Amino acid sequence: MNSETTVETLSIDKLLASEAVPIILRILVIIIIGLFLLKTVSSLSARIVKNRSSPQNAMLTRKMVFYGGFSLLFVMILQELGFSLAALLGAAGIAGIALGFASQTSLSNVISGIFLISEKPFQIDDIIRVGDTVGMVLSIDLLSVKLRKFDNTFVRIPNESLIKSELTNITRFPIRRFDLDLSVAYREDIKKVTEVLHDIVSKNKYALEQPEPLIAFTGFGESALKIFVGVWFSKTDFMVLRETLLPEIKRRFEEEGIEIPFPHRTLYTGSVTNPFPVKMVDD
Amino acid sequence: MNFWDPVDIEPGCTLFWQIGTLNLWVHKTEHELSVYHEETDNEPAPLICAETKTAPPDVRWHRWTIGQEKGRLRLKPVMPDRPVVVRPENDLTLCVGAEGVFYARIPFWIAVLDTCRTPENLLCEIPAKSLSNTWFGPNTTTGSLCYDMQTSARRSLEGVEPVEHRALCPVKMKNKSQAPFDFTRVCIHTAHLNIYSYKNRLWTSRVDLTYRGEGKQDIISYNDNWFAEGAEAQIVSERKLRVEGKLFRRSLDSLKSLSNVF
Repeated sequence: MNSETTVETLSIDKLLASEAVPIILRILVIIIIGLFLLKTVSSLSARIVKNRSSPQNAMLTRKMVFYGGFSLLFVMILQELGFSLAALLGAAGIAGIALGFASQTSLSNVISGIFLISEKPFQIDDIIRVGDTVGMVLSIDLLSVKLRKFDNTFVRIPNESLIKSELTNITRFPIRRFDLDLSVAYREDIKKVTEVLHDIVSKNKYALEQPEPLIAFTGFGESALKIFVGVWFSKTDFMVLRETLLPEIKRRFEEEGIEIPFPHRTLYTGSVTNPFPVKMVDD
Repeated sequence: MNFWDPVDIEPGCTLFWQIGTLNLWVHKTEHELSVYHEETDNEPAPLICAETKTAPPDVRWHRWTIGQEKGRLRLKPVMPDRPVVVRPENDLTLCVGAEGVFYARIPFWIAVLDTCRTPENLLCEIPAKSLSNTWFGPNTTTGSLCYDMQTSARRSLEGVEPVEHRALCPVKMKNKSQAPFDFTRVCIHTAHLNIYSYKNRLWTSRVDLTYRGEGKQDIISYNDNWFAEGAEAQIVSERKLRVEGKLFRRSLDSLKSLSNVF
């Protein structure tokens, strides 16, 4: 008897006749068409923004359109299932307060993310330094910024940390200066050393003629004379400039007999102190 | 035979060109063309055009699959891929209302073209002489990366021997401001220049620059009709970017140095 009832309940005819089927079908239609539309509209809007603005804004637009539309889709499905929108909003408010207390860090990251996006200290593909981490910006999201380091490792930095810490954008401007602190022995002629350095820099094809390189005697070190060398270069030439300039400086200094000294300390031995003279006097 | 005329190249053959300090080899195999070039430190040598000569051993060729046995190619002079900043060797001041034409000899690039097809296939563009880089702009954050060259800024070409790897660029400058202008650099946007062959030399379009005063943008136009009337100047290479009318842009610079602020 029981098994007959079960078979009756599961029969296709009954299922099709029930009220649940049109609802399920409608939900399926909403999901399929909705997701298709969301994908299309978000990609289209991102493409339009990318043509007129930065890749970062395009990515943000795509995400905003997609998640905004997805929330709308979710509400529509809940309505199809018979939930009241007013009750849902009320519940969402209460849940929002509870979630807000529970996720202060995440909220802080979201707010920091909004500041980062509006302030634009960097964009996608920029190379930035945060603390000891240097990498290329892959994405700027609401919670974090994703970097790819040069050893091809992935780094996620929470937005809150970025807002609080000092950040250097290495590739913001088209040209940069390569700074080098050199030391030469005290016996060297500063004029000759700076002339040799000017010659080395002028012959390096990656060094820019303008802005002029800055080569200056900066002070007296503990065991050497200090010379500053600042060479301007196109931001894409950093590695090639460093790899050609530094060996050339060493080679030319050796050729010209200019000494790059190691830190050293000269010790002088004094003469042996004579004993304090004492004279015996007869009584 | 004209240096810029097309030449046939048989499979297994290597041809050699020399222009300025550039040595260029092109080798043909069954369906490929290979190019190797090197720049020498020597003084510019006389032109050598499509001579049969073996390339140095163990060099790194760049190969192009052209998909045909027949080989026919030509070289074409083209302007450098970036603007060229020209610095006069001596200080030059343009008095109020003064105008004059100066000549700068810009090293061009060599385009290697496979002419078997229509349109021709561009294989590569090689500098006939590498120039150092420089920056042209009001500060270190805005401006453009350019090539740098020094010029004697001659006013006349009488007695000046032609240099094979350079195109003569006439620059007509006019000071329309109310003060004398000491200029140290001129930025020539080479993408707007045609190259002409005239009297056994290569010439470019004339650049007309008008200085209007401090903080104002210069007026620039490119003149292709500056040759004497009836002169048979033949166009060898067309400009990469066409300009209609006049441009307003910074092209003259009296800025001495950007490096004095540490």
